Amino acid sequence: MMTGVMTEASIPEQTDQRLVIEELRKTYGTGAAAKVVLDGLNFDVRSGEFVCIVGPSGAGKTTLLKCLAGLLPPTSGASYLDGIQIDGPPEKLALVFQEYTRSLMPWLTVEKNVTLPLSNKGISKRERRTRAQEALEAVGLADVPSKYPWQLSGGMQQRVAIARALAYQPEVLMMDEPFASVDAQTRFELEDLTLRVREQFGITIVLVTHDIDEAVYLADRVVVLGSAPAQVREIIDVDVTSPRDQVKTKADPRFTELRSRVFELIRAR
Amino acid sequence: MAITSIRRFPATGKTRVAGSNALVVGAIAVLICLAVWEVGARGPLAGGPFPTVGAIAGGLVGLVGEATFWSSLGETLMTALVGLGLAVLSGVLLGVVLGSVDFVYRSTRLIIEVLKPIPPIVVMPLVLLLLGPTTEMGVFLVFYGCLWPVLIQTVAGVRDADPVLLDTARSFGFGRLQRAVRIVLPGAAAFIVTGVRIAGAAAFVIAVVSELVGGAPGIGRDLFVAQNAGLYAQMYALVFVMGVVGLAFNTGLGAFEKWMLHWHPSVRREVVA
Ligand SMILES: Nc1ncnc2c1ncn2[C@@H]1O[C@H](COP(=O)(O)OP(=O)(O)O)[C@@H](O)[C@H]1O
Ligand SMILES: [Mg+2]
Repeated sequence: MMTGVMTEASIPEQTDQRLVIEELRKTYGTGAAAKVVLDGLNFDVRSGEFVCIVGPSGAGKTTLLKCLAGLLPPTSGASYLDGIQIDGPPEKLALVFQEYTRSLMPWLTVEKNVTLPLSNKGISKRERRTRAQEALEAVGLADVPSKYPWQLSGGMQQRVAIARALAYQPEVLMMDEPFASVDAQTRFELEDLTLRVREQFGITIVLVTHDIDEAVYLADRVVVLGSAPAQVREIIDVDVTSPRDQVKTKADPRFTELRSRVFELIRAR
Repeated sequence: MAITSIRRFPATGKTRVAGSNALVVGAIAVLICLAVWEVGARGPLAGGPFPTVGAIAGGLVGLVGEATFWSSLGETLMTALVGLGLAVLSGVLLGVVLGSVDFVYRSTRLIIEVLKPIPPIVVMPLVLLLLGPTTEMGVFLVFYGCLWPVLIQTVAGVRDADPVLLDTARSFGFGRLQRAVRIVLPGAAAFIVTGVRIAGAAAFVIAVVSELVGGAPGIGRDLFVAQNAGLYAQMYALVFVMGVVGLAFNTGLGAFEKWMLHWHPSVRREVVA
């Protein structure tokens, strides 16, 4: 895609680009209290790609994801999903938050949590149950549909949140530091689960993290953000072999090299 | 005078008992109270408005055999339940609106703060003037008294809604109304149910007071009549009935609360343990 200032009406050319982010700016507050958080971001995400956005805490990663998910209007600039400007939550998109305890409804069973978003799509009850079963199977939780989220461990709760997103059958899955609050062992499991799910469902994934290892391990490309106000420092192609493996990939010299590169970029200035 | 004693009866008469041990202790305390009463009624207070325990029990047996007693009791319970039901319905609906629209919340807060502490007994003369000593009058007073706790609790619960939960719902395409019904309302359930419990405890008391003081039909009015006629055994039997019914009422609401909130941290800990 050609870079340069685009007028408001212009729509990005049709390529295999799924998401296009153009000069995205977000300022919280107004007047003297105004705080620029996103300072003119440009990048894109291709169809079927796994993109990780990595940056230090407070960089504006959550803000960025909320803008992309249509939950927060940008101050200026725009983002497009399949050529259509995002100005509200797009139907093709599902979101997984870091705070699994707060994003699941404690008054609903696991299955009801997973089917809840489907009630909106005009899907029959039987189809909803089938989808929930499939999604729960995909995350390895086929045996707990009638439990309540709070009866599960943190890692399992986050699996439920992922299953809920999968059952929604999105084309783009966005995840905001989804594994930051689980223990290391569970995190590795969930990372591999996410990679599997992406193969199985052929979805485009945008995952935000502050964990450099995680970003390089998961991504096809890593978008490195500097500290606030966030700008794109660099976009790195992760040319390590797939499928990834927690032991082999992380021992790969290329992985180490890329990880150092991202680390230096984040630390710079 | 009479009002305060009735007001206090359901609250202090028997607090909720937990376990058989507490039950035994409670039973002993009741027996001691009855013994003290009996001694007083036979000795220093004899001849006054203090019939013996046996006489009161006799009054109770007499009451239970009368059809009018049961219709009075039904009347009182209906007044309490209908008033409470209306209060819960309007309190929750109004509370969701007040709680979710920031502008409305800020502009009505003062009004609610001013109206809230006005006890229903104070508005009784006005209501009595408008509706007369009728069941409707009683229902309205119960409604008025119960509305505030439900409304205030609902507003608090709605404003306590988790932004992550709301964002989640929004990202799945839930509109405003859907979020209110499927996210905000269940999320506020703990607050609302507490409001209902507070209101419920008041509902029965207000119903009785509206009958006792306002003359609406029910056991409160029967109590007034018995007192005026000097039928003390019957009067105390009625007080006893009120205590038992009030206790049953509150126990029922407590069970309802547990059932509604089986998923809530305040309740589920007991379930798991
Ligand atoms: N609603 C808000 N109002 C004002 N400032 C905010 C708001 N949300 C986030 N911020 C600020 O914006 C900056 C970026 O926040 P966030 O996007 O959550 O960063 P990250 O997810 O990378 O940790 C932080 O300094 C934060 O304090
Ligand atoms: Mg964040």
